[in-house]
Amino acid sequence: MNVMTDIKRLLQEADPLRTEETLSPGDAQVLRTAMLEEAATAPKSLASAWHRPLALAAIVIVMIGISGATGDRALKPFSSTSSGTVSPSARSEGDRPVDAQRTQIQFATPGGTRVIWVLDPNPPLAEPMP
Amino acid sequence: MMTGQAIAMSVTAGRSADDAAGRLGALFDTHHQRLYRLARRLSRNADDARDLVQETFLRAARHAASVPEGADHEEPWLVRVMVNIARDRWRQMEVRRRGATEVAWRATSTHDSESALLARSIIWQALQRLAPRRRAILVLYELEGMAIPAIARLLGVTAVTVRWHLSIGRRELAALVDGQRKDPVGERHD
Repeated sequence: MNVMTDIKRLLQEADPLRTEETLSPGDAQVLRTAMLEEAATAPKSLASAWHRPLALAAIVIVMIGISGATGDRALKPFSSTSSGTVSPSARSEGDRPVDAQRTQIQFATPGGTRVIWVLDPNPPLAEPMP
Repeated sequence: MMTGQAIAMSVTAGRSADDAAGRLGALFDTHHQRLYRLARRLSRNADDARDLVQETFLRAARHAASVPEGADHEEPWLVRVMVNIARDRWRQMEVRRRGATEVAWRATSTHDSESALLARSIIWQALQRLAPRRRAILVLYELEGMAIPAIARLLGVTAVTVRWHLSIGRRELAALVDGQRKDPVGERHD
């Protein structure tokens, strides 16, 4: 007898379901009740699993709202030039020191030379002719 | 005293719990016989099969949100869970079984005088020694007559994988049965 070709036949002959009954209604009822009791003892995990995406979405919406409100408040002083504040360019020279208007940029080259740029927002436009 | 909103939430929660229980009940009613048949063919005896089915549905109860909707999707989910449970048990038992297998086989072959009964016993015990997924594939193909693509869909693997397991499984089964027939009392000849 060739075992390889007889595997199917041997398995079919040895199949326990040929002689045994399937799950009886009584056994099925016991298993069903156990399953429903298990589900009833873990209702929180069931509910949280369903509501987790909703909670996450709510948190995101609240965070977006808070960041929007905060950002709006932070930007307000800079955007209210029409409410009486004076822009830097509109001020006269005597209102504040000259150094406050100038910006310095300092950097060093790889060779060690130190470079200082002074940016003057109000350069003298009319130089006296030599 | 409960406010109107609290009462509404309580009623909604109660209704959703009823819905979940109803869905689980329907899940059980639809699939338990089919699962038991497969479990019985994957197990040594009817008690093990019942345990396997029970554990599968308990997992469904614990993770009801993970069970996909629709009978076509539910069945593969349940079968995969059952095969995974069988695999976990098989791994635990395999270590203990190694030492005891020869004794059990020897006892069976000594008591079963009829060759047909012996052959059935041998093939069934050999089947139990295969890894659960391979065993499931052999059972689904040889005993339940399922097609390879259907088995692949059910177990969430490719058709190539199913064919591979079938081929290896048959070979392993043949080797186990052949070896047992040639040496039915499990005697060592070295």
